Amino acid sequence: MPSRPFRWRFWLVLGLLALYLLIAIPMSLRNTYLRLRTAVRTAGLPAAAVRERAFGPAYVAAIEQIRRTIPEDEPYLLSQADKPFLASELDQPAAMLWVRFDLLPRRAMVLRSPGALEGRSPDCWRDQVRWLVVATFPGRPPALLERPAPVLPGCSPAPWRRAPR
Amino acid sequence: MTAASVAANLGGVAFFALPGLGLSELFASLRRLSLPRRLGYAWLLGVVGIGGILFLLSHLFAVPLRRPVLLAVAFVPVALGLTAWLRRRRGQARAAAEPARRRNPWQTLALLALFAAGLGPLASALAAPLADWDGRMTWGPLASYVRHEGSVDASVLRDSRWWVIHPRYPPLLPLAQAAIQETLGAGEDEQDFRAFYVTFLFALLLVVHDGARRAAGPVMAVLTPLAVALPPFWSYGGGGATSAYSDLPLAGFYGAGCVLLFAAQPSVSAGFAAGCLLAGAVLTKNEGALLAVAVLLLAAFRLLWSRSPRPTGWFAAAASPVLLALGLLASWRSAIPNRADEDYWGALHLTELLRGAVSRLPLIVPEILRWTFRWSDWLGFWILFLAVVILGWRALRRPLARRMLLAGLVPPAVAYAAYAVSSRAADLIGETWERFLLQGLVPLTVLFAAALGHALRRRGYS
Repeated sequence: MPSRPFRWRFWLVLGLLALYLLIAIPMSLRNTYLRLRTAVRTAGLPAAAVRERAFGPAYVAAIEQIRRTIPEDEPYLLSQADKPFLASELDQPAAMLWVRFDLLPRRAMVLRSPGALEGRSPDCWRDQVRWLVVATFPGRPPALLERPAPVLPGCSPAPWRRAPR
Repeated sequence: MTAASVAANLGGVAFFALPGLGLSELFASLRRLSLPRRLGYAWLLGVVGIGGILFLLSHLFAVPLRRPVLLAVAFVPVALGLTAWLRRRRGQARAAAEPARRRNPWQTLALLALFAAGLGPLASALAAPLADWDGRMTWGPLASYVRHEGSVDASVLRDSRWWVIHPRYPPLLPLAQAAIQETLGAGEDEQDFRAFYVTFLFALLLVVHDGARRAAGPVMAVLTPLAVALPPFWSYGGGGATSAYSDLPLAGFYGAGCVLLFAAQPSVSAGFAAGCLLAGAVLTKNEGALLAVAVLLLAAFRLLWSRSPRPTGWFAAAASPVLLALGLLASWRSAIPNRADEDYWGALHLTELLRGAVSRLPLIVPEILRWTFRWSDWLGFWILFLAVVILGWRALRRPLARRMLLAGLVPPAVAYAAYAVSSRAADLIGETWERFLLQGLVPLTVLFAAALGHALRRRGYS
């Protein structure tokens, strides 16, 4: 015969488990139902249309435009409208990260504040990057600007300028 | 979401699942298991096997990661496993057929619950583009660069002029993601890797099922994954199945390694399988190396205190893949300049650690409690967990339960150490604590199963 304290423990554990399952199973099923309902709404839609639903048509159109302009092997400078320079590498502005992901596999360079560059030798590659992408806010369309990209005296042409287009 | 994208995602899953089944056939300790108990290990072995070989080929031999190579690497374990299976079947055909087992209604219920719990994140992942923070910031870009250059040693990682966040994070999952995308010829917006990440949730639950079965029998092996599958965090949280974080895979590798090391009969086969899974943990996230080494230390204690003839081969088989993975990772990292990662090792002096651990106690503990019991993420799961472990504490008399408790506490201990020395502890707790709980999930839930089984034992419920 089980002792009395053990019986008390048994019923408590069983009761807690039952209570948890009674709460969690319906909530989990509801979550699944909501996700399935959303999935059904996107059934048959191509990837571009799904992206438009998620991020907005203006943002997706801007990204498409930039993708068409910058070849995959050419890099770009990336900046954020309200924060043109990154103070340090620990700066991770969301808008810039969002845009960078959508422009992969193109490589990004970021603008550093003049103070952060003091004492460093001039970056031959940075000056040869033709494109500047300015992120504004997560989900808002980024802007693309073309900039002069001279080969500075003492610098050799960057690899992407030598590559066949 | 189109039929083609669903098919491509399932193809991405098959790319690792089939070789994984082949690999599991080569391990005596795994092929003895029933299919549901074996599938979780098979999936994880497939990812670490294929991903690890690709990593090795690319880094050491500069083999380009293009479709012919990817398909060849995936084909070999499938062929080996199929051959072994056919030979085994021929041998078994002569033996008397086993009587058919009656399906336990609890098992059917658990399967339904697992299916329902997994269907939501699967649908969610297939119906929307990737929108989680770390997936877009860290892991996705790494996968894209690896795919674009066909190499794990992509030039963009090795040149500090390019803006890459965490370029030295272990690349197993991004590499696997790149392999799927490349094999299937995915276009820029075709995210054929989303189901790949969701599958880790299923694998994790199957490993929990096997661990609980070993610890507490068939009924607890049903109730435990059922309880575990329900909190929304695993499915939809940052680090859950719909994201492209590496925490869920790390939880799978670490947990499966723990179960095979501590709950399976010590043998070279079980040790090597566990070692391969722990190598997967090393190659998945920074803290994976710490977790793998900690578990090997626990295994070493098991070896020392073992009364049976000492299975040193078991331990050597477990440690070898981990050491290989550590070496491979160190070699890969050596050519990659760090950009922004916080230097935890540099800050981890014992005095600093102890001072931080004590002085920050009033900051860390309330935050940890707040995130642990957050209703929207956990639905009270950790309350149930604590209650069951306290009420079934006698289960801790068993060495298996004690080892699982220690293994389950390793990720939270790593987290606490990081919070004690980090320059931004408060933010870090909110960003990472729940993911550390996830990493220790399997050993903790095996302990939960043992305690639950003990508490309910004398009524015939286990």
